[in-house]
Amino acid sequence: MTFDQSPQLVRRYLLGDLTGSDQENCEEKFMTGDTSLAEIEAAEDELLDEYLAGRLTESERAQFEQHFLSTPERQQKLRFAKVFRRYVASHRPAAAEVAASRIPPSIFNLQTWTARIAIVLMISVMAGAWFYLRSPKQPPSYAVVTLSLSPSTRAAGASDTLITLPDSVGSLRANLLLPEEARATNYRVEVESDTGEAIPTSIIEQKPGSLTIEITAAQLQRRQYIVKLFEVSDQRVERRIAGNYFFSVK
Amino acid sequence: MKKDWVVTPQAFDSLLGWLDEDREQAGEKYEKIRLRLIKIFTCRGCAEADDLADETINRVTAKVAELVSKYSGDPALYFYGVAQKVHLEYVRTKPVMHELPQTSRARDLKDLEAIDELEREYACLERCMQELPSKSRLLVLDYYQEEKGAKIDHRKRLAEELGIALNALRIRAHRLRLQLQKCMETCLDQAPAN
Repeated sequence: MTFDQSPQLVRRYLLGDLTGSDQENCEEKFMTGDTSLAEIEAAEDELLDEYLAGRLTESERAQFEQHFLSTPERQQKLRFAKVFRRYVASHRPAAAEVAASRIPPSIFNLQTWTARIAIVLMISVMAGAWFYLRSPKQPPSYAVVTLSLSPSTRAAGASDTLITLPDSVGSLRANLLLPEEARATNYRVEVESDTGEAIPTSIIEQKPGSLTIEITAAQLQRRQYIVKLFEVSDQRVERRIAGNYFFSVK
Repeated sequence: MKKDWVVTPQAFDSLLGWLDEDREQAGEKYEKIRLRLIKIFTCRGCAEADDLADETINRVTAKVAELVSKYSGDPALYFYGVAQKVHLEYVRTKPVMHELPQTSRARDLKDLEAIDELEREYACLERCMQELPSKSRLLVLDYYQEEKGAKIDHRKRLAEELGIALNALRIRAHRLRLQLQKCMETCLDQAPAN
């Protein structure tokens, strides 16, 4: 049995309760990628929260304190969990605020396609009007950066472009210089933060030697980012172009 | 524990070549193996998990010329086998720490420092929360609300509303929490205690 087949197994492993072949079997599966690292770390968070909430049994509590907390990294996690728990308890989001942050489900519950199309059209017209009225007064503001493909990882010393985004800037436009061997007519781009979060982006311009992508400034925080490039053939088959573009937001 | 072998750039190149012909893929596999070794050493209660993972990688790198021709199978499993040996050596040699008893005055001072530190941590976390996009902030606050049984139902409902699987929501919340922890630690480093 592997970790992802049994959350109880992960819990026992984290508490140091698995030994011998059970432990080795799970660790081997973990090494070969059957269970994600995030999966194990999410289980660690849950164990920490249960400990702080006093929901572990007596024996689990003892194992937690003797085994789980035996490394500085875990002790650090516990410190954070304490502060985080206190913060969450005193910042309960209002239901209205939560609802507003999501797409209203009622639109998708509409029974007829006519009603859905009507709503989409109405929103498009309003958005168009808004952009039309806004454009002469407030020209769109964006920062521009040119990035070159780096063949290695950051750890191996790849060059990282440092970017400062003033508050007034609405988006970042990155010109990606294409490698010589890139000859496709279509491309796809993925942007990811150093925490693994996918950042929405779109290709807004394509020239023979470069592509320009745009990322909304609100999506970017003070983090490191990696841009991955894919060639898309006419048959819609994708091929990853070796190398990455790197940038960091200051 | 052996620590006398230094990884040369050529040896490291050979290691990457053994992991994958494609350089990019090899780099990703290397990072994945290293992070997983660190996690295994941490889960086994090793305080110097990073050092032990690096020692494991160094030992494998030292043997890579031989491995290319003789080893068949997933390289990650070979790393795991070496990690087992490194762990055994660590267990045999790790120093035992004994905490000295504290005087009551030292304890009082430590308590006062701890309260001060907690407040600093809270202020940093508050700042980090404000830096999150509002959707992420609301998601993380909403996800970690509720207790016991209500919590499970609450999270199921939340996943349904977002149109994602419960486990995907769990991982998303964990990543945001990790992001907040790193942000708080950076904030604390930038504003050291008085």
